[in-house]
Amino acid sequence: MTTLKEMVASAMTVELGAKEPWPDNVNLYQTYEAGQILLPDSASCLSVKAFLEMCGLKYSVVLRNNAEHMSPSGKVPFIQIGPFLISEFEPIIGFVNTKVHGFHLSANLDDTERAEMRAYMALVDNILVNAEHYISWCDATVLQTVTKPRYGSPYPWPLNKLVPLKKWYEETSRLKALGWSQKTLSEVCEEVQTCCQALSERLDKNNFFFGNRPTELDALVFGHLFTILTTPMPVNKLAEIVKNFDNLVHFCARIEQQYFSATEAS
Amino acid sequence: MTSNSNSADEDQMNIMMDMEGNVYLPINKTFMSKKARIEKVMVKGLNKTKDDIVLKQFPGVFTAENLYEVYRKAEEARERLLRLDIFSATNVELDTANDSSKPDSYSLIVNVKEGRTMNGGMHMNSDLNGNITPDMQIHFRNLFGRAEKTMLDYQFYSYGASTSRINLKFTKPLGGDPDVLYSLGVQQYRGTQEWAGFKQIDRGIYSGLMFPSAFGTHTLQWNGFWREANCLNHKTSFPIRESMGHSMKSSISHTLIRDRRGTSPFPKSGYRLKTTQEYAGVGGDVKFLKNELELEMNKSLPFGASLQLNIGSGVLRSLNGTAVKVSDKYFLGGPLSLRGFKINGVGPTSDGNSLGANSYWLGGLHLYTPLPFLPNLGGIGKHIKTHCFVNAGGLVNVDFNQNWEQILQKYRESPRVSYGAGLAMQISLFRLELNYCVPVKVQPGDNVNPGLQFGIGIKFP
Repeated sequence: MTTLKEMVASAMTVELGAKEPWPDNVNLYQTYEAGQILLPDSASCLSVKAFLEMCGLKYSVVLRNNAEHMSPSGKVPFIQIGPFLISEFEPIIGFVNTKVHGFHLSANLDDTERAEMRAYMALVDNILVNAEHYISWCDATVLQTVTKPRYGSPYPWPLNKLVPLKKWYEETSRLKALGWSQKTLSEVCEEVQTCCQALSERLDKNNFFFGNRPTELDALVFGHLFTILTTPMPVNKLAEIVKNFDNLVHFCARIEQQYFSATEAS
Repeated sequence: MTSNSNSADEDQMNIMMDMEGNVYLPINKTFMSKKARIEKVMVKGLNKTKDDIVLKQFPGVFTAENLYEVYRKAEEARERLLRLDIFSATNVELDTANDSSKPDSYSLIVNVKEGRTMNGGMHMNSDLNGNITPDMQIHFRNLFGRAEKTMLDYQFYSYGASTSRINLKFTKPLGGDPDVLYSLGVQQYRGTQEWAGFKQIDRGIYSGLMFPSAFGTHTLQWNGFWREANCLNHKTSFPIRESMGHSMKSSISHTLIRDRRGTSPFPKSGYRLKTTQEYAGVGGDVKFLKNELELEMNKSLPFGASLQLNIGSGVLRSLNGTAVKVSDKYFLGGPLSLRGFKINGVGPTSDGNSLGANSYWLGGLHLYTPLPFLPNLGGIGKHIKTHCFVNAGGLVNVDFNQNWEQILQKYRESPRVSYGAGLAMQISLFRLELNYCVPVKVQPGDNVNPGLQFGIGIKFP
């Protein structure tokens, strides 16, 4: 009963709270880029960063090796805005759209376009994200040479062996429930191919997926595709598929140029 | 039961002990200094137990020179045999040797009864909140015939914090000495620290050695524990979140217990001192030094009353410059520690979560009196007393870069004080208290619980 009450209470605060300006001291928590973070987490961190950059919202990145355990949902990234902690892409977008004054990337879309955008976002979530998890935890080479050493890197012996093993069990159980762990690598690649095909066709020769302004879909797609393209992996199948779609590769380069190279320079 | 005596010296009485260990002795000095020595020892009833470990329980038995010494040695051997915890009954008889040429010779006959190898039990306890706390135990005694013991123990508490513990422990007396125990165990503990908004699972191995000295009983122990801490819900405060995650504690600890109290549930005299030093950092990623001290002193007063003074303190110092994890910190408050406060509700808080501190101190003064409507002697009156108490304590975050003056100043600012009266009950390890508490000195942020407070817990009497 208390959990229900709490949920209602927190929903009410989000609903009823007046829109507020974006504070200056917003922190984005994630695990270490070098040596620790895994492909799916890295991609979702980049999506959130891209979204915040597109909105022009200021934030600072805080690196913690236990960011996953600090997060309210057990996943990275999460942002700290005053007393609020919000984790993962969708809730962060929801928070910014409803709570923060003057930022709603998809505000000028009509209902049909917004539904279409939701559908593409679901496609990315269902296929790209699961494929990233699959390649990290179900592919034996990647698991042994990349995932396990990186995931265990913050811990001393014997935890550097035990903690990845525990995570492996959780990840494979989740993928099994979703029907992904039974797939072969080529089946996964086919799905990714289909997903990229759909995205590529929707993007066509435009700068952004909808009109001439970025939406949350652009942030999400950029985060995942850019990470897949740029992360060195012993099994590079996913990157090879994405590379076949020129307009997606250019899209990634353009977004990176527009929103990230400037911030790094300043 | 009595040993028959066929000696010419018929005025003597046999020294005899029964199964309960009561000793029947003639009070006669000249008799006690009568020349005597033990010629042979016979142990009857050994089945599974190996001879060598039994023989080690009779040190110096052949050096006795008079009846008094013979009696002392026999009694000592009987006690040692019992402490091995493998015999359900022992009984010592002294018989004259059947050799008329040696009138001073006696033979020591020890009758033992080996206990069952497997022993188990399950208790269901229920507290006033209706929480059921099962406790299941299985013991295997004397596994390989040398007093080895294996114990599997599963406990589940849901009062205050839901906690479960499963523990598999192997112990073995070293060199046949029942007081020198080697132990090896594996343990998993799951606990919910509601006051601090997190839950934790500890899994690990420990290995220890317990031995006596002139100071008391020492325990040297190595602990290797994998700890996983997770937030309880979305309300968990940020400072607590920062120490969530996996950690590996590998520590060496030394505990000294000097117990000079009576055996009754509420000792009326004597004292108990416990000191612990723990060094974490033998491998693992948790590095600290912990020092703890507990002292209990009892003094008997007229009319069956007694006075008890409790003092406790602990300091924890991080050795690798990083903040101490919340799982290692000290918390204070609750119906069995600092009464009149919520469980671990003392000290710095953030969003309703207690944050703990790296040092604590606690003092208590109790006046125990017998129940007014029950006779003082025996029965349930032995286990229940009324008591009036004053508690004082504090949690202090010590900054070790500061000088003594500044640290002492922090301690002076810290005290919380409460007083009250109620009923206290002690049955074996379990302690129950029902008190009316009045917190008188409270710091901002403390979670107080004035009025009626019920507490159940484990307190080593």
